[in-house]
Amino acid sequence: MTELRRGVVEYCVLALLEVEDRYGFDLVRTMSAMGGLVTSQGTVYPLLNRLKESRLVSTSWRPGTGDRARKYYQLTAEGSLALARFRSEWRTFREMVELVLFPAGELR
Amino acid sequence: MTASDPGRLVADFRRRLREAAQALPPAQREPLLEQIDAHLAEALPDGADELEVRRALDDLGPPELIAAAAEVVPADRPSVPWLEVLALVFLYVGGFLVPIGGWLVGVILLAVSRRWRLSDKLLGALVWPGGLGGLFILGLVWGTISSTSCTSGTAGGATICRSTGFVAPEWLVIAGLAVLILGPLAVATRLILRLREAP
Repeated sequence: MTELRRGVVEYCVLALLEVEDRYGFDLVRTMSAMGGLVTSQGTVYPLLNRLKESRLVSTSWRPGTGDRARKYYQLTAEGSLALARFRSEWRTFREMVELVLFPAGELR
Repeated sequence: MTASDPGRLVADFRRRLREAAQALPPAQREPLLEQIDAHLAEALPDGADELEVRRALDDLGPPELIAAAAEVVPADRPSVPWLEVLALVFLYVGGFLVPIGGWLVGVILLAVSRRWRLSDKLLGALVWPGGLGGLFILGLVWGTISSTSCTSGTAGGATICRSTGFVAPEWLVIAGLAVLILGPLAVATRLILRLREAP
């Protein structure tokens, strides 16, 4: 389940960044509020770093509260492409899994 | 300062994280430590009491878990992009197999690929139309038009060569060949690098 969650959470991060650029704490807090999406807030940061290494997101420093700057994350063109691809694959994947797990159609 | 002093709790957490992240390469460790520091600065208001600090640290999760998450290699390695490999083969070699048609197949595969950007696709299609096979055919055609014929003279055995059609200076031929051959090579390199960048 951990592997599945990790694979999916990456794209949830991309989807949140598609709506607007976010700084780390804001992004982590938003994801944490979606119960069950992340097991611990701290593990989102390594994930963000991997997305940056893969060039799916980029970062920039912007003024925050007081004199502390915030590192903002934004979706790149590659990230947008990866998200679009995942969206189309996810629908098929989800339908297939539900078909196998709930053959009697309990979900419908 | 007591063991449960808010400042001490944060310091302990940071020390444990630093220790757990010791095995990570500096390029991964430093951004992570910086992110967690920034997170704590945002999560903890000035003068946060012990309960607030404990809650913020609990939400972050054990430092060891955070460091372990940074070590994880993505489970799904990028698969071989067969469509793109075929596109490159047809674009650059297809013209030799089926003149023009082979290259056209490459262009179609290039167009439908979702891994390359529009700019990459345009470069791939326009440098040069026909691909390397097209250049080969162009060379043959040019060779036919600007043929050189030599005849041996009867007196003194001298050989006289006459060129017909347009005869380009040597430097122009070399420069032209360089552009014609290096152009597609540069574009092919760019297309391959893009594939390695893309997930």
